Amino acid sequence: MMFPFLKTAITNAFTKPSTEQFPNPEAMGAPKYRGRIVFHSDRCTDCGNCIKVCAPKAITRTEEPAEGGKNITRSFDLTSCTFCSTCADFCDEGSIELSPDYHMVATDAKDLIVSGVTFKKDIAGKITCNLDGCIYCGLCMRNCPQKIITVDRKTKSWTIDHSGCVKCGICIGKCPKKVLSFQE
Amino acid sequence: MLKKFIDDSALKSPWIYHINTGSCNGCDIELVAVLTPRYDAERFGFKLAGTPRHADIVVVSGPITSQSKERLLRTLAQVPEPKCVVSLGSCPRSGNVFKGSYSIEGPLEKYVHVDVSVAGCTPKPEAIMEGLYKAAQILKEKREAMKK
Amino acid sequence: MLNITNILMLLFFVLVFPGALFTSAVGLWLAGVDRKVVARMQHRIGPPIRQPLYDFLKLLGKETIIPHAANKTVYLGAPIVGFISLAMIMLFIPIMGFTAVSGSADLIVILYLITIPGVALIVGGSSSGSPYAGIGISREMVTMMAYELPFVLVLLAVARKVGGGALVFSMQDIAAWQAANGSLLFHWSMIPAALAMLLVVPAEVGTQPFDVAEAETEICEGPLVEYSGAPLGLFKLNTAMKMFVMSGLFTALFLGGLGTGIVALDALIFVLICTLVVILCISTIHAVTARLKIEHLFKFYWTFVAGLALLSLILVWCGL
Repeated sequence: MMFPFLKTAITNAFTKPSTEQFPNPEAMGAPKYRGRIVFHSDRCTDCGNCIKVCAPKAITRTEEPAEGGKNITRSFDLTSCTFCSTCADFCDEGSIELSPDYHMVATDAKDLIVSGVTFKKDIAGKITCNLDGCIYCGLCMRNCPQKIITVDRKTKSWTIDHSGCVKCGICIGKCPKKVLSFQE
Repeated sequence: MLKKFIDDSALKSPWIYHINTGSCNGCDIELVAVLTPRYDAERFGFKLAGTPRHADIVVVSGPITSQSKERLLRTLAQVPEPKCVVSLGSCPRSGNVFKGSYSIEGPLEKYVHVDVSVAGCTPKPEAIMEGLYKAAQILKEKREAMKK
Repeated sequence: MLNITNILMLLFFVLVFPGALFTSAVGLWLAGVDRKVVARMQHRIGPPIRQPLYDFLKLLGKETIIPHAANKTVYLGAPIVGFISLAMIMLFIPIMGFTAVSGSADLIVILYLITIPGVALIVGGSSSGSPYAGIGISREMVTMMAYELPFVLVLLAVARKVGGGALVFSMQDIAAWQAANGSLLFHWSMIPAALAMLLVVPAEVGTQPFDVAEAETEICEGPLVEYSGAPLGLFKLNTAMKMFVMSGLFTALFLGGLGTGIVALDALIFVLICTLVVILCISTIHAVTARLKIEHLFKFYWTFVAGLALLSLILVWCGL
C-alpha cells in the first residue's frame, strides 16, 4: 500500500489553488501566439498571394465596381482557418497579421469572419521593362503572384502576359535596378 | 430561495459530452486540459459525462467523416432536452484543411443547429472555457423557454 | 398503541428528521464537501458546496428518456426503491443518543437494507438493456461481494465486543455501552476493525478508486448508462445519501456515546463527525489514487481489509 501523493494532496489542501482567474477578457496569448486575424485593408495591393497559399481556402475575395476603380472585399473565415500564418508570411505589404487575441467564441458564425474593403483605383498602364537597365536577375519572375513574367538569362529575354496581370506592383518594388514601371 | 436554486441549476451544472468525429486529437486534448487545476472548469459545475444520456452540452470536434456521421447523429438524438451543441475548433464548422475531401460529410451545421462555435486550431483552453460558459447560459435560456 | 400521535411521530421520523429529508440534505452536503475537498487537494478551486444540489435540481428538469429495450416499471422503480431503503436505514442508526426506531437486531436489518441500493442499481441497470450496463452490474456484484465480507466481520467484532460473552445486534445497546465505557474507537482491539470499516465506506459508496462499477471513462457509468433526467438524479441522490448512511454507521459504531442529550446539538455533532469521516476515508483516498481493476479490488478486500477485520474479531473473541 503506497500513496505517493498523499503528502502533496494534504499540502495542496492548505495552500492557494493554482487556478487562473476566469473570465478574463483582457488576457492575451503568448507573444507569438497565432490568434484572431487582423486585416489592414489599407495596405492590401490585391495581389492574391494569400488566397493562393491558404490550405483550407478560408480567404474569399469579392469585388464590386466603384468610381475610378473597384472595391475589393477580402474575408477571412476564422471557423475555417488553421492559423498557420502562411498568408501573413506571404503578404509583402504586411497587411495580414495574426494577433495574440484568442477570444474567438461566437453564437453566430458571422461574428467569426474578419473582412476588410480595399479600394483599388484603375491603373491605365501596363507593366513594362526598360530592357537597357535589366540584368535578367529574375526577381520579378519569382515574386509575381500570378506567375506571368518569364525571364531567361541565357537568351536575355523578358516577357509578360498582360492578360493575367492584377497590377499589384510587387515586381516594381522588388526590382533591384528599378527598370519596371507602369506605362501606357 | 429554492426557486432561485432551481432557476440557477441549469446554468450551474452543465455536463459535457465530448464526441470526436475524426478530429486530429488536438481539440480533444485541449478540452481535457480545461478540467485540469490551472483552468478548473469544475468550479462552474462542468463535468465530463460518460454517456450522452447524462449530457447537457455536446462538444463536437473533428470534420465529420463519413464513418462517424451516423454515430454523431445517433449520439445527438440520445441527448435529453434541453441540450446545447458546441463546435470545437475549425473542423466541425467548415472541414478546415480536409475541406472537399471524399470522406468528409461536414459541416456540422447541415445536421444540427450549432449554438456556440469556438474558433481556433486548436482553441486555447481559456477560449474553450468561454465557449462552454456561453453554452451554459444558452442552456438556461432554453430551460426557461421549455418551462413555458 | 397505534393512536394518531404515534402515527404522526412515525411519519415525521420517516419523512423529515432522521428519514428522507434530513438524510438527503446531509447527503448532498457531504457530497458537496467531498467534491470541494478533492478539488482543493488537487490544487483546484473546486465547485461550490451546494453543487450536488444544483446537479440534482437540474436533472429533475431534464427530459427522461426510456429506452425501447427497457422494462418501464423496473427501470423507473429501481431508484425509488433505493431511495426508500436509504431513508429507512437512518431510522435505525442512533444519532448520538437519539434513535427513531429501535429493536433487538437493528444491525442485521441495517446489513440487509444497505445492500438494497446496490441491488436497485443492479436491477435498474439490467432492465435498461444496454451492454455497458451489463458489464457495470457484473462489476457492481463483484464489488458488493468484496466489501460484504469485511463489513460483516466488522459488525460481528462490534457485536461481540459490546455483548461481552454474547452477540449484541441492537444499535441502542451499542450506543448505551459506548456511553458507559467510552467510544469503541478508543478500545485498542477495535482499531483494526475501525480501519477496515473506513475502507469499506468508499467501496459501498462507490467512489474512486473503488468506482469500477461506474467507471465513466471506460464503461460509460455502467448501470447508469441509459438513465437520464429525474431517475438519474435520484440515483445521484442515492449515492450522496449512501455517503451519509455509511459515515453515520461508522460514527454510530465507533464514535457513539459522545452525545450531549439535546437532539439538535447531537445531530449537529453527528453531521460534523460524518463530514470528518467522509473527508478522511472518501475524499483523501479519491484525491491520491486512480481506479483499481475489479480483480485487484476483490483481492484487496478479501485479503487486506478482511484480514484487519478478522484480526479485530479474534482479539475480541479472546476477550481483549
